Amino acid sequence: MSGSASERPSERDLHAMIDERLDRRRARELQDWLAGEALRDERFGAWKRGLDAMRAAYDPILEETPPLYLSLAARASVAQAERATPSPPAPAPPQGDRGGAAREALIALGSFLIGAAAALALTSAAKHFVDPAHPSIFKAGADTLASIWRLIASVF
Amino acid sequence: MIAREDIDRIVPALRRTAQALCAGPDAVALGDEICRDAIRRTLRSQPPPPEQVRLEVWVTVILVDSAREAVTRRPSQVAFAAPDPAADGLRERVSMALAALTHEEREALVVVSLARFSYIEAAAALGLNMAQLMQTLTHARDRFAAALGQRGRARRDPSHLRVVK
Repeated sequence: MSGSASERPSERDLHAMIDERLDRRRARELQDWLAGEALRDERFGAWKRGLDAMRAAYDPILEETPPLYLSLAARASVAQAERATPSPPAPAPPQGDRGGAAREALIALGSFLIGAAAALALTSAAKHFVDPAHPSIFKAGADTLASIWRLIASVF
Repeated sequence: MIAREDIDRIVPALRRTAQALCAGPDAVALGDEICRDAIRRTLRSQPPPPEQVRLEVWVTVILVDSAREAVTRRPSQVAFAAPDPAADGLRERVSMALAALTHEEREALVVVSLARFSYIEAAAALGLNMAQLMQTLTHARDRFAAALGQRGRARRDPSHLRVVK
């Protein structure tokens, strides 16, 4: 990127001049060089008009709202990529831990037995406190609970 | 991992580049199609850190590839109609002039002059060395200016319009 006004500039300098990437001093030198011959000045002018036309034609696209489907596609693709990426290692059960499933089954059974015991206690309490001579809604409720308990017991 | 905000931020510039690369009557539809394709392919890729290569440059490498495929498989019956004399039609005229270039010339011109990539970025994106990029740009600018000039003359004199159907 050196040279004087009389020295032929490099191809890169000429393009940089068109693309406005030259410092002011070098740009002035090139302008002088171009002005020295009508033909090259004309060619450079045609390049510059081409650049201006291209930018005037296409730069307004930057102001357009991108089509919704394009944005949605981007979002969907991001979500898909996120799903596909092995996310922070979930604490996978060790291969040899065969007791995991048994432990879960035990917990489930324990919960069930506690619930059943509670149902039995409620049934007994209801039978104890309700006067058989005056059946009421409480009595009906107690009978229902007793039925449920019998049903549970029959399962085992 | 590429953030969706980063993709959204560059979509307008990608659409501009894509439509210019797909210069032709169907440039808008084709351009948006290759944008979507390039975004998908980018998300499946492993881009280098943005401090080394800007995301826009990385996506453009893919976009250029998609554009080549799309333009090559474009149906042959797609052609420019006569420009509407009543309309300004600047984009149409520029699009016709761009369509007259080779793939390599159009890519160099669009990436440097429209997308405003640095010469180093453009050369890297197009897989050229600096001398090749400069040479391609020179040919592109000469041929583009000539095509644009001819279109301009044709526009001033409607009897010279060539209707391609």
